[in-house]
Amino acid sequence: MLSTILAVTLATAACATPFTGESSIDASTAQGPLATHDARVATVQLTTGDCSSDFGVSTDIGGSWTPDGRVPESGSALATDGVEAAPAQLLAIVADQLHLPDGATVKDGVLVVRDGVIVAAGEVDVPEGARVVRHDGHVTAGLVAPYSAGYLPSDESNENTRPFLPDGRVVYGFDPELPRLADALEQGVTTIVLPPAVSQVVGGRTGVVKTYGGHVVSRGAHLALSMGSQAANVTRAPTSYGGMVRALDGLFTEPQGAYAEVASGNLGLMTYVSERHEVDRALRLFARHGLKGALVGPSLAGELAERIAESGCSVVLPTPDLVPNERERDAMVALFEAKVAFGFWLNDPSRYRSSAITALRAGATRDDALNSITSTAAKIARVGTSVGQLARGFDADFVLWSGDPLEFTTTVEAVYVRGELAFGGDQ
Amino acid sequence: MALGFLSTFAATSAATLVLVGNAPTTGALSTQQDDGPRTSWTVTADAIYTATGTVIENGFVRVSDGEITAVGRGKIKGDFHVAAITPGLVEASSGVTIGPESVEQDSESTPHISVEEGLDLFSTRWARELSGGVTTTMVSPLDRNVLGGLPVVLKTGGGEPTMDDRVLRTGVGVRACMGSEPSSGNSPVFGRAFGIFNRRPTTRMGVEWVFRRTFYDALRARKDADFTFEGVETVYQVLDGELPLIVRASPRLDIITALGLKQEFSIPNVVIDGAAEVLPEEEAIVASGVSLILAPLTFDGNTGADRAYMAWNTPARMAERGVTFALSGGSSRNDDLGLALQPGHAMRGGLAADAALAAVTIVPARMLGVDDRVGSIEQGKHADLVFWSGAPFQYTSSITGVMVSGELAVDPRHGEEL
Amino acid sequence: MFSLEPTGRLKAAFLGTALATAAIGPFTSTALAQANDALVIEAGRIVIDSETEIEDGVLVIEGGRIAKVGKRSEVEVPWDAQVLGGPEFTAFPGFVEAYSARGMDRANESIDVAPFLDVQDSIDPINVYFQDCLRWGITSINVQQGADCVIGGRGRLVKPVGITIDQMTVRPHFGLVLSADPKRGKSRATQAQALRESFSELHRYLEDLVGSAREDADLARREAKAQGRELEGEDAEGRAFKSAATWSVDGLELVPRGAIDEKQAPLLDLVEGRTPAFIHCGGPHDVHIAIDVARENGFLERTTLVLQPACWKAADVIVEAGVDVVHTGSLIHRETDPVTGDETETFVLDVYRDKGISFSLSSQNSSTTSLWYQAARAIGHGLTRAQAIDSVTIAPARALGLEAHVGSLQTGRLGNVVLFSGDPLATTTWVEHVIVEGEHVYDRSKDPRNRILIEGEDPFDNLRTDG
Repeated sequence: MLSTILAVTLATAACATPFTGESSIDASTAQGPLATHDARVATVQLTTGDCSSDFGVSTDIGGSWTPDGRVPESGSALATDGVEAAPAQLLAIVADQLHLPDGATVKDGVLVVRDGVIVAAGEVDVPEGARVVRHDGHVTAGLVAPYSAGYLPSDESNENTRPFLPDGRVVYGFDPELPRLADALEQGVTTIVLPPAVSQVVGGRTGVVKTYGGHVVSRGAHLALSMGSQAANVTRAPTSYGGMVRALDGLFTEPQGAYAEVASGNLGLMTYVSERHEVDRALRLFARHGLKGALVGPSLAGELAERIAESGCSVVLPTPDLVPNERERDAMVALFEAKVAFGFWLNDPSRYRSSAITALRAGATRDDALNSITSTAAKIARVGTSVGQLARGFDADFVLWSGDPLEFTTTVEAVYVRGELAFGGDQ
Repeated sequence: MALGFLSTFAATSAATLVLVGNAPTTGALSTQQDDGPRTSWTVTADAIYTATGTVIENGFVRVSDGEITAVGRGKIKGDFHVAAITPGLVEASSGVTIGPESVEQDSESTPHISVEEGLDLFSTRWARELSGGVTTTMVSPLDRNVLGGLPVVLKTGGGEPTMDDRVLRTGVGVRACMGSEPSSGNSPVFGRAFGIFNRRPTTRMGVEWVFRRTFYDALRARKDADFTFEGVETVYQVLDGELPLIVRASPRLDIITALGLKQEFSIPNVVIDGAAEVLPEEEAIVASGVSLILAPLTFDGNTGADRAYMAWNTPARMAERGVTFALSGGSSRNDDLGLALQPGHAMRGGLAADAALAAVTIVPARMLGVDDRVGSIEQGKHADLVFWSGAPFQYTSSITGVMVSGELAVDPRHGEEL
Repeated sequence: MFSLEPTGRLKAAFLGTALATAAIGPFTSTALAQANDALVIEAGRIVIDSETEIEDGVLVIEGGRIAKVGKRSEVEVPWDAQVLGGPEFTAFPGFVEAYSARGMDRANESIDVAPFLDVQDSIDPINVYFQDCLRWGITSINVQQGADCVIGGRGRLVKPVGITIDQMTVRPHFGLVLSADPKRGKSRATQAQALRESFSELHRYLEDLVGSAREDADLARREAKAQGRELEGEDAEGRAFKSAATWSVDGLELVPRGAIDEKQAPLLDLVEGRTPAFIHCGGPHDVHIAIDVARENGFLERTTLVLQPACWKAADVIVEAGVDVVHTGSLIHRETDPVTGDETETFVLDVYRDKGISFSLSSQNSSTTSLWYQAARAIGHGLTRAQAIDSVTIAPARALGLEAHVGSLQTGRLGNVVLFSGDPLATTTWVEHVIVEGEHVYDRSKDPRNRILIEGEDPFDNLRTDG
């Protein structure tokens, strides 16, 4: 593996201040690909997107990673600044049912893709010269997982020497060759949030990546906090909820660095909380500092739904059982009724879509249920303006379903990532 | 019914009867609130033990919006009738915490960190305490630190499980712990991986040293402007008597240590919690003026805390000697009633019934500084009531109902007995 | 062995008790030799049983048994008898402990099937448990092994008086303890299988013995002879297999009973209904297994179930089987709803009472404390006074087959009497005196441990020199 070519094309020339506002720790971690992948690094192309201070919006701040330095065969997804990779090619999907962002489903809808990006979707004409794929089923945006567990090489998510590591970036532990990514892809999941482990209070920054092609959508979408019991670890400070809260209160009072970015809204906030008292504690902390973000893990926080709604937080629920127990279901219903934006964990990929079906069965609207694994999930992941919807300007990540994606009997027939056939299909 | 101390006060109670507003002839006027559980009631009883020194025979308690609006004598029609009513019990030494996460152990001395963040208001343990008649409780950080932090006093029920609805008072005192608990589990550095437990005391002298160092540091910080440490302000408050030092000391040697520390630093306000081997140091305790939260009495005298032994006449002796003491049930409500059995045990050891009642109601309420709101059945206080099937605290009696802030947590009308 | 004639054995026991008394010393004040061995107990109230009470009564114990009981004005009292009590006391039948695995040096054996053991080898007469029994007024105790074995050893009925096991013994080789409750690390299925297999093995063993006897190759007998063990009396004879078991052994009369080995003999006693069975059940599923095994092997009639709190859920099965139960552990069974997380509490005895099951309490579990206290709490939780008193007196006596001897203060019963300072179940009442078989064996004013416990007396006071 050491013989692997270290062909790192850092596009930092185009980016004068690649890590604005970050501490020196982060500057060094910016070299992370060299440090962490030195045994097997291939091509890393950092795009200008990394300069963006707005981590939550549409700019594609990813790059592309291919093993062994080879350029991906299709070459179509590699539109990067200043580098014209391949001639533009039009792809048109004609679907029996095309799911559009407003919840509408268009019969015989057309999705037009160029350079990995959607240029048109809906009742439009098939452009001339386009390669046409006809699909006798539903087409939705690729599924987005706003939180995941087990999609990093083991231990790479837990920097257990530092309970507070605001500038750590999980994305440097991202291994595009991890087999589980392909499993997720086969279930229609195209974008996932990689969070740091929940055993540290401030675990680092989440990354948002594609399950195919090694694309990195965001190198730092959220600051990840853990206010779960796992973070109150008796082998180091803090060992208690009191210590944890006290430390966080200190960090968010006249915040610096990452904490300031979170306070100003430039950086998202993703907080792991499991028990109800942990949710309550997080909400009180948020109220003191004017924070909001995604609450990850509160499967039973039904009683707190109103307060969560008032706080403006969204919720990422652990994968519910196919037939959730009464209490889990009541909690879901309470969240739906309080109009809290919700998504689900990605754990076992084969059960990811069924989370949305469970939500539907528990009383969520069809739109909310489908959005919970697409557009809402993307918004929670703070990449809501680039993935999760079939709309002009969005990444051409989509799934060709055999039928209605909210039916158990439906299967994935093909998955496209950035306009490239990533799984299935024989077209 | 054993209304032992009833007759003494019956006459005065009639004279001091306070009726607020109109005395209606029917009790059905209690209004039902639009949302949330009902918090207005009129309850009648054969005997009402008010914990103010009176017992009202054939009386009633009127409750409106969670507060007691009238207590009186006379046969009126109420919402329901019970054999006896006592105030909601006040537990001064609760074991309801979420465990080790309730105390910050990265330092052995964290006097300034509140246990508030270490609470789980959704725990089923609150309901368990509540059904055992405990409506107010103090919760301290788990005793893993020498100076563990700031306890809080809160209600076990009523309203929503939020800090706003439940917490009665913070700044009750500073928790300290003598004895083996803060040193257990610690180890010398040698031969073990370095961890936070390496630098903590492993013996009683180590525990005491940590305590004394903290207080000497505070004394130094007062004089030396350049010297300070986290939590020093809290230690000042203890030194100035603004915050009581609530120190856990069960066996005799720890009680001696606690009394010694009080003297060494002239700490004005000390409460000894979990006090068990009290009688051997009776004279010193009386002389020191400390208050006691007694360990739970057990049938074989073994309190389970540091193998401390507690004789059954301890509460009675303390009453004789004029020492302020509260009884506690700790986290003993596992098999049966917890705190609610302790007055019976104390009476078995010779304590008078009225003192036994006070020791689980108004005395701990006063000790915790919440006697303006709870601890007795008086107009204007929280409607925290315990309903009994017979004479309170008799082993043959049971708690048939519990009201907290006017809400019926255990409804005596449906036979939901414990 | 239990003597119905209050002469011979009891006289001997009496002497033994007296010796024990001398050894325990501080507990008693009784002079050894009374001109008349009768003891007269006077009490403001005599609780004969849960139904009958006598005001201002007197009770005469002669030869260890209650000779007379009645109003003081109506009972003739021997002029030279020792008199105990007074109007301030309430006399109450000695409490009966239906099952206890305490008072032993390790109550559990690690072998799964160990019927050849006998608790006489592990009972420790000076164990503090027996002292505590006196303190709390327990005068009859069924000591059995703990619940760790599938089939444990033989138990023994004792009184908490004496410094040797012989002195304490009321009835030796009494009962056999079985467990349907798997010990830690074992599955319920393994436990049930081991339980059933023990009886299958007994069956096979007996058939083999009969087969051998028929072939005149009575090895066991020959072996016994070779070892110089001559079989005598009943041991030398065979007896037909008599059992209500679903299986039978023809020709067992060919086998001398003494030839049956010591592992199988106790099981055969069980199967033939010659000794009672005490079967532990940890939860409702165990109850089914226990009852099935007892029924299949013919000893259901002599079975008492020793139940943990959760077993109330099997109440219907218990009713159908018609067995008595001993409730051990907490009076309250607490469960957490796995879905809502809410706790529910069930007062177990309520269920047994409502279903008509005869239940006894037990102070087996020390944390729940002694019988009088549990009886009082049971009233607190909803039993009537009569039901609560029965559950610690006559119900355990009946479960042990001793209702003619203990559990009430009727004439003819053993003179086991507790004198309380007031109402037996009131909070502030204490056991002041205990009389066992007419012997005054406990006096609270002379109990040093009690003085430390209740009066906070410093046990080392008299050792200090500065005083």
